[in-house]
Amino acid sequence: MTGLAAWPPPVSRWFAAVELQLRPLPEAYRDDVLTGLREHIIDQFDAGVGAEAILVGLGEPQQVAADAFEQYRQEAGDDTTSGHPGAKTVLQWAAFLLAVAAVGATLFLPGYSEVTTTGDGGTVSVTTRTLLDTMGPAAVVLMLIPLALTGIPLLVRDRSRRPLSIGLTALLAVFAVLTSASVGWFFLPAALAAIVAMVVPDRRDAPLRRG
Amino acid sequence: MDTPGDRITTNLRKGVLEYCVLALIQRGPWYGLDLAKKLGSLSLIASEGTVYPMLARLRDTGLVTTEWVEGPSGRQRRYYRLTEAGGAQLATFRTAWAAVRDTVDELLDEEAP
Repeated sequence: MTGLAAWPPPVSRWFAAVELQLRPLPEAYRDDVLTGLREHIIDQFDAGVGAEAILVGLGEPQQVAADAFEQYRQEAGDDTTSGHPGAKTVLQWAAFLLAVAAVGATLFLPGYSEVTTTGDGGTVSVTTRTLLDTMGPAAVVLMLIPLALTGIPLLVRDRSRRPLSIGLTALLAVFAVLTSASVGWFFLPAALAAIVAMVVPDRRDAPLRRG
Repeated sequence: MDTPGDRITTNLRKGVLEYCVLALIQRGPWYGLDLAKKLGSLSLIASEGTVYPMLARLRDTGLVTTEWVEGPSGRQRRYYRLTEAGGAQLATFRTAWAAVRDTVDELLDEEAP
């Protein structure tokens, strides 16, 4: 009884419940845990153990998931605990959303004005233009930069998240400074939120255990 | 309902479980089911499913390694083996455990004034 589809429904449901609860964890770690559980179940079926006894022995899916989060937290000092985001993640989301708002304001709010006069110096007209009007598609490409700098840390969940956040936050600050003559000020709130997210301590301060 | 004794025992077991796993694996390669059954028989774990998150962490941190070996039924089984780093970690624990155990035993043996 090797395949998931061949398992009795209660066992399949148990495994699916664990799989669902482990989704916030990094893929490699999650797959490792699920592989162990899958092999355990298959070995038990091979030994002639019934579905009910297997499930009683394994324990509740919620407990297995809680243990998985606890073990991963010990390893990574991560704020991924039981699916509840910590301050670090909340602040990084705030930085990303502030960057989205800044991009919207930058692209679509009138930021440039053009004054035209007739040849005899008579009629004067003032035309306002947005960054998108002025730069065209290049403006969109430019605005992808702050979105990437604030969004990428949200996608990374393993131990590389911290050094990556530091590097990307520094680049965001540089971006805000370099463009301060025009749009940089719009991104200052996002940069500040990213800096605070970077310095907020992890929930566990214990260093990674390395053998 | 958990008694105070149950809670104390649970917390003590949680603190040493990882090192008990390393000590078992030090004796030779184990595969997951056998390890879970052994730990359960020693009452070191409440449910077998909780072993696999710990094994994943031990592997991730380089304290154990795994290899797929063909089992009696012809199906591949994943065996856990101690690494050099895991051996060093276990040795460190042995020293720390001896010191803590002796201190606690001494305190518990002292008569109250």
